[in-house]
Amino acid sequence: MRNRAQVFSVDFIIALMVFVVLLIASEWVWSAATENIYFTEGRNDLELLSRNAASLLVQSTGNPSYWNNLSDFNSTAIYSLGLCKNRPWLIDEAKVARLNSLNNTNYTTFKTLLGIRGPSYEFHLNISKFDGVKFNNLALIGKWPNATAENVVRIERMAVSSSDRNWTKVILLVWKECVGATCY
Amino acid sequence: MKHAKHGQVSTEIIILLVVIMGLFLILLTVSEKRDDQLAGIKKYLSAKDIADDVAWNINSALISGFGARRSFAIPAKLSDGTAFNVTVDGPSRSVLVEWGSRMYVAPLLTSNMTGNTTLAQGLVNVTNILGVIKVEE
Repeated sequence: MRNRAQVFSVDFIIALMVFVVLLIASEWVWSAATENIYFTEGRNDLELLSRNAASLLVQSTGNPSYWNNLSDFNSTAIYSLGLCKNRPWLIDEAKVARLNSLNNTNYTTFKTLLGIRGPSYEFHLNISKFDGVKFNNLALIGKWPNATAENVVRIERMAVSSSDRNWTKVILLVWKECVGATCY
Repeated sequence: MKHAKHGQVSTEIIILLVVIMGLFLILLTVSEKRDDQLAGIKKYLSAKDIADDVAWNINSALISGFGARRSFAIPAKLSDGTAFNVTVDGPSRSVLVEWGSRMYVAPLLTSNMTGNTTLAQGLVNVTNILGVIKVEE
């Protein structure tokens, strides 16, 4: 009689505890796996759009190609953005100067034109030219990644300046700014 | 004494059965919830794959310059058999894939586009004609 009661109570309680622990563990593993999927997909997303944006800048003239002479800098007047003069990898310094002058007021337009439009996606663009000794900044556009930035993707492209055929470096940083504890 | 023993065993068994059934109910609920989540993730990734592919081909034709041409195929259904719609929206610079009440948007790098805006299953050709991206099935 006493043995039966013991079997029911102690064994069953232990079995129940094991079951609950397994259930909680499986829930935790599931959450981690789901988060990992979204995190990886987010990273792939950032990689893809930053490569596209960097390629667009150093390989195209933009549309219209004289966009730097337009008084309106918006996504209606400009179909696409590009920094080349008349052929790929030949950077037009007038276009770089125009971008630099627009920096403070047109961040959202830059994002639209560069296709950086995911949730909380931000960017920083640095264009510099080699003077024989070091690279000097021609343009610094956008924000800097702060402490909450996750998945910072850095794309670097080399081109030449149309004015003196010196090396010109285009560095694009794209990241997602986190809100709250989770970031994916 | 004999009757009392029988009574005890029955109560224990009933309690045990109720608890076991409760546990199985929890297990089933959790498992069903995960099944739904997994199906949702699969659909989302499948739609994302299609939208990214369409956007990549259009962006690639733009970056490659005048005369560049890309061909790609759009599947009939998402990986789990769900029907979907693909829309290329030039003005908003987006490729939209919609299924059920959900939508995935992939960004485009140009708004200068002509041709079909709603794409159906099959082969799609994208051509860069002097900076204008022409989409045709």
